[in-house]
Amino acid sequence: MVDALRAAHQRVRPGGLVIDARPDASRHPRIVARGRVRAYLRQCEDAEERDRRADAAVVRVVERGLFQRGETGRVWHGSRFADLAELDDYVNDSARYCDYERGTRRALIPFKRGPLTMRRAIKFEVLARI
Amino acid sequence: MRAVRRPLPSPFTDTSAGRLVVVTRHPKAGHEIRAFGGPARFRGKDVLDIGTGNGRLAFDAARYARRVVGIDPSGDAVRVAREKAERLGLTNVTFRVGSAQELDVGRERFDLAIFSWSL
Repeated sequence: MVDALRAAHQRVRPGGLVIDARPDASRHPRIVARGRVRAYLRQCEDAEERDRRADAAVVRVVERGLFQRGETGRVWHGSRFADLAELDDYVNDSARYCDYERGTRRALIPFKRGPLTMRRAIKFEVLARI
Repeated sequence: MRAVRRPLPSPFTDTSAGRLVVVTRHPKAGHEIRAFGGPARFRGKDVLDIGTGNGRLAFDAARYARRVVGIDPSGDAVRVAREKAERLGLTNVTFRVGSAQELDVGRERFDLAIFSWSL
């Protein structure tokens, strides 16, 4: 992660910006059907650990004087799925989510014909290249 | 008696009282750009989208930026993004296969780089 930030530092002009945007592991993604939240997706501990490592990488490059911290924020992102089968494929392909079959999916069966929307909190931070 | 219309909460606001209202309003394309500082931050700039995937954010940025280069390790995702760019007739956005650690863009330099869920 530090390597990736260093690589970005080399490719961005002095005074330029780097925006680090990624899913916020502290907020559970939610599944919306017919206008209401029907289930939450549990994220694996691995996802939270990865998020912590990414945070630590940002701290390191700032301490090394490569970047200066700028504004931070959060944006909610919606991904639309035609039906439950499409959501199944997406979640099963991702290493981020755990206990989907045992917990979340059961709550979504009444809405299996979709459409379903996954709403995720995306946190971002603007870093100024020094 | 006139009915008072209360403003709807912003889609970026998540309050315990307003959650059910909020989730009926899904973020539209461009909201991320707005959250990241708005079109002014992208206008006329050279943008590098790291972990571009199928180019979702790159296409939004290309509406304002001078040039956008999307880079992703997945050849399949890059192929989909290239096809979409061709279909849309966009000439200021290109896609390459590559990793975030290498960022193989030769001697090119950018004004803005975005880690799209890739750090």
